[in-house]
Amino acid sequence: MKWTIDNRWALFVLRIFLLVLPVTFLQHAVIRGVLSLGGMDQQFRLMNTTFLCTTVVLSLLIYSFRFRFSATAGLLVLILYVIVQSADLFSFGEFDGFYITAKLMIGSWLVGWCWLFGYGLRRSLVTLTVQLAILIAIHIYVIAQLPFENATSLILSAVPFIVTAFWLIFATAYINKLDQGNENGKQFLVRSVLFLLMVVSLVGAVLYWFSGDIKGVEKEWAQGKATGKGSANNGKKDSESMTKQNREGGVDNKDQTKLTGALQRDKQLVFVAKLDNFFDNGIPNPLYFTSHYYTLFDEQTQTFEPDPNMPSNDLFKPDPSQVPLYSAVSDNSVKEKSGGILHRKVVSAEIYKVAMAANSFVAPSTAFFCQPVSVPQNTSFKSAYKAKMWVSELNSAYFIYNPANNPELESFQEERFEMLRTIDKIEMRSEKDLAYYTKMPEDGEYDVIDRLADSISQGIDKPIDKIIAIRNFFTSKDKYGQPLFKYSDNPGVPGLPSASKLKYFLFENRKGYCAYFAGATLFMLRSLGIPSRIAVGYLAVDRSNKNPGWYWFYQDQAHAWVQVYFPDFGWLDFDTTVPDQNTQQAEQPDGTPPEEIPQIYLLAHGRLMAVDTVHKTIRFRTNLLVYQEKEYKQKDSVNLDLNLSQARILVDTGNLAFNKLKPGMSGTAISRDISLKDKKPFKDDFSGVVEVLKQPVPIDELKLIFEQMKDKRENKAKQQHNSFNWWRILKYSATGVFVILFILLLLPFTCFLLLKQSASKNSVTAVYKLYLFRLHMLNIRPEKESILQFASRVDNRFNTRYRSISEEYANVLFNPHEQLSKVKTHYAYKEFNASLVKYIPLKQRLRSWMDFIRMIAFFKPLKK
Amino acid sequence: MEDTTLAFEQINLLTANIESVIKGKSHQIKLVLTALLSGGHVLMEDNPGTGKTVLARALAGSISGSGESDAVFKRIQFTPDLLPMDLTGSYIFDDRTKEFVFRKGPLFCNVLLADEINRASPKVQSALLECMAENQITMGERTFKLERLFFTIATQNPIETEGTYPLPAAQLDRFAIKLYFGYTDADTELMIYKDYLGINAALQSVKQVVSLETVIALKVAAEQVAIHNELLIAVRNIVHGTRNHPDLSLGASTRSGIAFIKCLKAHALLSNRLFVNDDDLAQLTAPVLDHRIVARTSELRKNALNGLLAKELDRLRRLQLG
Repeated sequence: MKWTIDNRWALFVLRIFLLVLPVTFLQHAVIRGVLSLGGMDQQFRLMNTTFLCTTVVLSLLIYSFRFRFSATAGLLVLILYVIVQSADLFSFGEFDGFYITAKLMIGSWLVGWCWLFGYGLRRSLVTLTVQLAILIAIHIYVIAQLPFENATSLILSAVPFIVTAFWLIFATAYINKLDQGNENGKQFLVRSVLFLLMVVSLVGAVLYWFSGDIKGVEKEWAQGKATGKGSANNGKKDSESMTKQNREGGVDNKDQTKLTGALQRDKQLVFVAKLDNFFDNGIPNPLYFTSHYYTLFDEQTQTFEPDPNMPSNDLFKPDPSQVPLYSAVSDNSVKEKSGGILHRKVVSAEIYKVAMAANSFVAPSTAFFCQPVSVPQNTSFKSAYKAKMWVSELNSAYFIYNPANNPELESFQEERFEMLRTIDKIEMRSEKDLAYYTKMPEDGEYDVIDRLADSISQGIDKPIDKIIAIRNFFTSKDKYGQPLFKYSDNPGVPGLPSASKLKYFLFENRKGYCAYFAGATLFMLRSLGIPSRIAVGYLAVDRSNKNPGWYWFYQDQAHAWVQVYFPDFGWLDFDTTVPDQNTQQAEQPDGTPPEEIPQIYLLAHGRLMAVDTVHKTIRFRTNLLVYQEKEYKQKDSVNLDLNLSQARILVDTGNLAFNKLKPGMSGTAISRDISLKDKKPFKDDFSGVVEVLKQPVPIDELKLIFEQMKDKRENKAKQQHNSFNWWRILKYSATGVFVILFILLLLPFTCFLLLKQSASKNSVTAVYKLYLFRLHMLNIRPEKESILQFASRVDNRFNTRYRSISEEYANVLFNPHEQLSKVKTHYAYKEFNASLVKYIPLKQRLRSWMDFIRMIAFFKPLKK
Repeated sequence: MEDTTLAFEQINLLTANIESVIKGKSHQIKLVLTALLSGGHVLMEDNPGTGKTVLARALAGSISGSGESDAVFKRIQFTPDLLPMDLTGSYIFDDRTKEFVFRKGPLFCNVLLADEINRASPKVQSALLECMAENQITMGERTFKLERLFFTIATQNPIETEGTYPLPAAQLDRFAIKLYFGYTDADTELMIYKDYLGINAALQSVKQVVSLETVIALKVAAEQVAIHNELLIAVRNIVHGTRNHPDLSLGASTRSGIAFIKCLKAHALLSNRLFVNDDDLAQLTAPVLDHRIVARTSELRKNALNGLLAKELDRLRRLQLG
């Protein structure tokens, strides 16, 4: 039996299933690999893959018809370019615009790439092969970068890829042959099955026969990596810190914590906070300060990560450096999202930053309000803000601390546990949320933790008791009476390169710093179905007798702990990290709290318009005033002259000299001038306030805001302006030249199509003209030949039947007996072209359509 | 000739008949016939032994005589001591009648092969050319009409120029067509060698396929062939072009233009067409005009003509293309 496939559409569908799907698989795998290497795994979803797949299908469809590649590809490039450019022009938000443009750029590259795939699959095996080679190269690079447990998994991750690539080349060649009717389908099927069988058996054989060798290689590998790690430890390469230095040199909680061999901790004052939270008897009630929540765990890099898309996101994370002084940002939705109803209250805090980065925000959870305030004069504080939090009364640090068998603390904490014992089963707002917050790594790697948690919590029903059991597990003693787990900043790394560090911590080493304890606790809780997450921030310690309510936070107080969700109580903190036995936390130097900030009478938000360095005055354009604690706002901005001779000029990182002021800067001006205290505005509106002010207004403080992105962009724009926009001119002229070139390239073919159109009316002259044009574009031109001589030459060379139409045309031209308008001929361009195609290679034909100058020669009028 | 198809038939017969004798020379045959039908004469320039005589004899042999016998073919070998009387004939004293009787010379024939015309003295050359132009001979007070069909095929030997009298340009103008006979191609030559005995036999037994009357009728028919105004313009442009061309020291005359048009018509008829087209123009420009213009080298002459022709061909091709 022989089957042949005649139907174009059947072939098309066949192509989609046998070629496009494997291509999509390859692309998806490679892009995912690349993204995960760059730590952007979340951004690439199935939808994008579907989109790219659609592009391939579309391209395949288009090239199934007789479209020329150069023309269509050129058009695509043009369209993509225009889209990217127009997105740049019409974007609204500046940062958003930049982001969208970058996204579009990457997108259009990918679309172009996929388009090329479609072309390769339909027409050009060479293109396809090159593309697959590039993909394989990228994939191999990605594989080389990822940690692998053993060689088998390495082979298994590389082999399907290479097999698919070979399959694609093989199948494409076959289907193309099928399309031409050269092969029959059965043979193709048999061969492809044989091919697959061969590959599978080959890989299987390699894995089976050489398993011993592979094991040996693995061992060598592991050793090589372990020694590499050992030496790296000295160079602090693999060590980890709970905080990080950011660009301005400020300290910030890292937004991810990797489990590594060693923790770096420093004794640097990060910030000072005044927390307005006291017990009924007036004893200060400290709270842990939160910076981030980690809800995800990346198995490959063994890193806990925050997830901006976490369900019921109750993290309030403003950038205080971008908020004008005394303006407030707040997000009341987090109160609701935090899930806390019972035993909640609003607590306020003032945070004075010392080493903390200007843009970072920490506060006890759950914060919902932030208002930057000015810092007192002559202190080391760089900036400050007020924060308000929706705080659970059960989140007192005394409740959270790991009591580590301290009976006083334990009995105190019982009070809290008693309250939580009312909850038998933890349910969240939705099943989805619950699944998210109890998600564990899927492979069997962490099953042992599962079993450990089960054994610890055996026979315990209440969730809170399970949590206590886990906490007790960390503080339990072994059979020699020694603590089972020890705190260590240098827990060391497991011998095998990528063996789970948590498993190593729990079952072998039993030494670690807070992230290990929090991570292990998190997995145990989650394996028991208790929704939990890791909170990162600062541990609060009440050390001050002199200044109740004031807390000093040093860098070594950076901490990680666990939060557990209890219905109606919300997220509650639990700290399972055992106290450091070796180095008792040294007394931190207690500072003096900042003074009370004097009363402010005038505050103006706006922009510097002009700077007078002689009189130390500035012109300030504003539309928002706070006068005697009342806010006045107006649509149109008004210019105010401000006297800065007595003023402090502040930025987030410190003071600024007057001569550094430049028009265009924006910020907040504050006056504490006593003379303003009693002046009542003439009218109770904005203009009334402006009228009552005696200009120049004496100012005590000017706080500037640096809008980082904006600033850079403005600089860039200024530079562009200074250099007469050369770059832009170049860009536009290049685009213009490109467009013109493209049109010129397309013109000959367009001309040809027009001629073809007119020739279809079978007029002799039109048909003759079409033929002549086609030959002309192929550089076959009559040279000192009559119409018939030329026709004979063409016919001899290409075996066409050009002479008959030539004779007809000559007849029309010179025979006085013929009636020109009545003469019709048979239009047979298809046959004519078919004979030409046989003799002229594709490359030459393609090139012939791009010769614009040649086309002009055809239509050039005769010289007189 | 009323019936055009009959005319085409006759032409095809004649052509085929000549081609059966002389192989691989269809282009030259066509040019010779063109000259014949246009009422002009042919100058062939080529080395000896390329088949000029055979062509002339085959042509003559194909035409049956008018009443008396075959068309008369005569051949004169021109030498420096040849006298005009040797061509025209002369008065000879008749003993019996005691008076001078005119004895006709070889010019009184239908097809004359004048071999190596440049070897004869200018006197003889001009006598011949005058006869060709006037179609009559004047001897003393008597004028003798030549045959109604009088067609000269003159040959020139291009290699030996010593002791020759090259034809002046004005004389050359009297030949309608000058053609280069040329050697045959390798395959045809091999064929000729295989069958060299047959050539003579074929010449002897060449069939008379057309009558003299028919040829004369065909000449009339050639005159009737239509020529498009644009082609007349093309001829005008080419002829004009030769006069203004920087490379040419002497251009073509108006007479040559007329001869050109006659040849075009004859060529069209020979191509079984009743109208002239650009193909005729392309084929005939060089044979008709080449010998009528003067340039420093033959190369310049050729290029000049080709340039003029190409321009006209291009113009004609694009007449309807817009």
